[in-house]
Amino acid sequence: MKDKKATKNSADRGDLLRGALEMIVLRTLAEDPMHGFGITEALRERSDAVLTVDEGSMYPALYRMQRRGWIAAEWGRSENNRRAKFYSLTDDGRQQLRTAAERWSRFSRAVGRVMDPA
Amino acid sequence: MNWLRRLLGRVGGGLSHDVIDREVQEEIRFHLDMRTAANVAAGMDEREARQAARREFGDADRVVRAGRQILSGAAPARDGSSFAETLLQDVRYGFRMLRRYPVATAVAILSLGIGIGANTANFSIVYGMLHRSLPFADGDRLLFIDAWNPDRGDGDAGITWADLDRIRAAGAFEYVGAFDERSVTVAGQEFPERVPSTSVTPGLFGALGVTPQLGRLFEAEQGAAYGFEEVVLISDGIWTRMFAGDPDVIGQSLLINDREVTIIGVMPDGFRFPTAQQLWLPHAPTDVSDHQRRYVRGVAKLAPGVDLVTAQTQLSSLAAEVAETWPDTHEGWTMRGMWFRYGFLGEDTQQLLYMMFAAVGLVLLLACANVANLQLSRAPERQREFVVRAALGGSRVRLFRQILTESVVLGLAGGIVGIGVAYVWVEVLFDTVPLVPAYWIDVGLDGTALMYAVGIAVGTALLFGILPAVRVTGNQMSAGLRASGRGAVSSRGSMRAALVVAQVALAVVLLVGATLMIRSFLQVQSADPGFDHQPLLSLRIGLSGDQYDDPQARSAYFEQLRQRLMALPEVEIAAATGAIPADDGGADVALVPVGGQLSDDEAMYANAVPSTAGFFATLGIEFIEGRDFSGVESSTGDQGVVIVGESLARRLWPGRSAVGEQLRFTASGSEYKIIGVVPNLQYEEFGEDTLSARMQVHLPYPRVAWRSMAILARGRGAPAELLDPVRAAVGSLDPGQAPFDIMTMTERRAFNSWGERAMGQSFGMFGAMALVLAVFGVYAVIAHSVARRTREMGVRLALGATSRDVIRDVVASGARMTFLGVVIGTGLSLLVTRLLAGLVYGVSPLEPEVLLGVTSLLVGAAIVASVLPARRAARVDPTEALRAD
Repeated sequence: MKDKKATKNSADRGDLLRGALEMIVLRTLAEDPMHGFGITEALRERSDAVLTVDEGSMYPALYRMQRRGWIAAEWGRSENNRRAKFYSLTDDGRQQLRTAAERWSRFSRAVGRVMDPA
Repeated sequence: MNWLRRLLGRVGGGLSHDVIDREVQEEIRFHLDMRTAANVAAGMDEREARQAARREFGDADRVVRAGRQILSGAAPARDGSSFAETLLQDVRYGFRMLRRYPVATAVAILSLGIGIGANTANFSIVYGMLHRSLPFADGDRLLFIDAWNPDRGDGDAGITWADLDRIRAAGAFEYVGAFDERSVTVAGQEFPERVPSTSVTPGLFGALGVTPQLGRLFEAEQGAAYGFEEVVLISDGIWTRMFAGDPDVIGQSLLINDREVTIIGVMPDGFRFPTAQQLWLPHAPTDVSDHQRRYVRGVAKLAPGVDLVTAQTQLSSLAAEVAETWPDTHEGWTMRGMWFRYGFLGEDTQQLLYMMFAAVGLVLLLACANVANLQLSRAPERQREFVVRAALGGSRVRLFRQILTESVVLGLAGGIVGIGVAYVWVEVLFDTVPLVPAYWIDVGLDGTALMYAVGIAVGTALLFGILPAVRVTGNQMSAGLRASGRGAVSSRGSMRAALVVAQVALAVVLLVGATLMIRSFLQVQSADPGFDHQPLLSLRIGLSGDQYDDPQARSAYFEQLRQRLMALPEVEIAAATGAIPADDGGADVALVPVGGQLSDDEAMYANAVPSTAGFFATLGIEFIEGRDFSGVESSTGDQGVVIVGESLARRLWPGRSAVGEQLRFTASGSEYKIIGVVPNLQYEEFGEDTLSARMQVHLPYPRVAWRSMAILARGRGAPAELLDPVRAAVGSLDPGQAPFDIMTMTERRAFNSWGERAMGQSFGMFGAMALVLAVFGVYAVIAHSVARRTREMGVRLALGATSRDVIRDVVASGARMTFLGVVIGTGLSLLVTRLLAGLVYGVSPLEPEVLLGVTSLLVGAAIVASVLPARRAARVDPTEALRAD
């Protein structure tokens, strides 16, 4: 009830949430190139299994970011010496991660101030 | 710009569909292999590991399609390419979620199973008794017609032959017939047997569309004077039992009431009419214009296009006409037409059935509230999961549907359990019924009942699923990504609290209802019948045979039987009576005091019961004044004497002795001298007596000389020990007579109160379920809020609060919810119990001590339910709690 106003902007917020996941994936790729399976594992580990999803759903998100030019895909060798598709951050992607992280921390600070006004 | 991008995508990207498909597929295969390997490393076997990997991954085809669309530059894939596919996926996902929380799932399925089972069973019973179509041609147009006199509160008198003729002439009906239930004595291989039979107008079965499996139906002209039979139709049961299924049975004879009667047909397998009768005799009056004797019930088929109300209006105007023609016999009487089955199931039965239905409906609501609560308690966790899915492109509608699908999966699982519960329920409940149900009552679970079960399973799933679905996918989506569970807690908390308040309120209503039903049963069971019933054995005899056509022979028979029974060493005293107290009633008579002020029009209706000498002594009843009939008076001698009940004596001769006064029966004009006054007896069953049943007059047997009488014998020891000697004495006096309905009075009372017992048991069960569900609801909410407030508790303990403070606080919050629920529930009970008022015996609808008991039970249980989590809260280690968040 309390954020009735926000409901009107649900499109924006949807973007925000989708952006959040993309941001998380970009962040995961910031250190090293990774294959899809690696990303889901890292996500699971770092979020204490809170962020677990149908693993298959991760891939369309990856393809979308690839399509936008934020990440690049390249076939390589996995740790067990199998052919695997590795994703790495492009310069555009790095820029996008910075913008998104900034926006996110602004947002969560704002929410934090509203929720815990101590 | 889309077309341009698409074009560029194709040309510039140079990726063909084939290449994309292959690449995406390889990527997926890699992922699945890796996950499988990880699962194997975690201890699964190879096959299991691969299955789990596939499950975790979800729909691979969809990923391939999405890849193709996105990577070739087409618009991104929308959610769910086909409805069925999405549904299947949701269902699979739902199962996985349910397995992840086995305890919560089991509790939910069990609650739902009980709720759905109880509802399905009751639906099956209500449907089977009240709504299933009758197994007769045009059964939905079949009416039962009887007469009643509102002044006398008399519910079930028959109509006369003259009435029938008028109804036929009136035109609202396509067919009008009649029947008269009576038992006959049939000579069996060894002993004569009492068989419930019915005489019917010859054309009735033809009109019902029933054809015999052997032989033929009555012909129109067949049918004889009452008690004068020539042909008979038998049931398949009699055919197989007495004739061993002999195919040449047609034309053979059956000895009915000592008369050879020719069998002309065997009715179809299982057929009984009108309820459980197994022999049918044709019935036609000696005098079709007889307008005096009300001994038949009408069966009429509405003419096409005529509705019930029209027919009823016509019947009452006919009754008014008849009353004008014969005011002496018809004044105050009216005719009632009702759907056939309602002629046998009293209004009380219907009301009780619907009441039970309402009660199990409430139980189901309680179960729903519990499941909704369980779902809500998982909401924060689910919310985070859904936020991620939303971020991955799941639309809100899609996620909403996902949660509903999960609920439906849960609901259907509950439904399956429920069908099992319903099956057992119906069996057990109907096993306790000591009567043979009517032929057309079939309460078994059938397709309709199963459809009903599935229907309510899905319906309740939507009911308990909507709230959590709105919660989880609703406004607080953005809060969910914060991994802490504290977001938006308060409004969810209040929703859960509201559910619990509602549960407690419903539980109060159910428990109050249950207590009333149980008390009603206990009252009926312990009600004082006005006599000492324990040492009594009771049985009935309906004299059959020509030799008893003479009333004097009947008087002689019962006097001799009385003497023989008294001569038995086991029997202290015995007597014959026209009505067994606390079971049936006598005949209605209208009477006035001789020499009094009352004119015949002001006559008083009373219940007249014929008896032999020794009746009151057998019951252990002391005379208030005067004396009993002598053996001579009750067999052959002077019969102009009566014994009256206390109420009647007081009413007619207030303040003075009635002995020596005289009464005149207005119908016959006979006068009687009162020789004694006895305390009132309970005639009819408890709760069923009418006003006239309490005005009692006892006649010496020869005055009416009924063929059918009851014998009561008081034993020196246990009444069951009387059984064999009494039976032998009856057999030795006249081997042609079949004693029936043999029970000790204690058994008879239990038999007569089985309805109250069944209701008491059923409602007791509903009440217990309601209590458990409501208390569980309180527990779950308190436990959850304690878990959520761990940090707060920690802070308070760190700041110096004692664990007692914390416990008190938690318990108080549980008590608040319960108290509010109890207050609301009490209000509701006041409304609801009014509906129960007519159905309970000897209990006023809302007694303060019932309410007090019920509410303190609930409050007590709720406090216990909150103490457990409260103690957990008090044990919180402050440092741990602070770190946890």
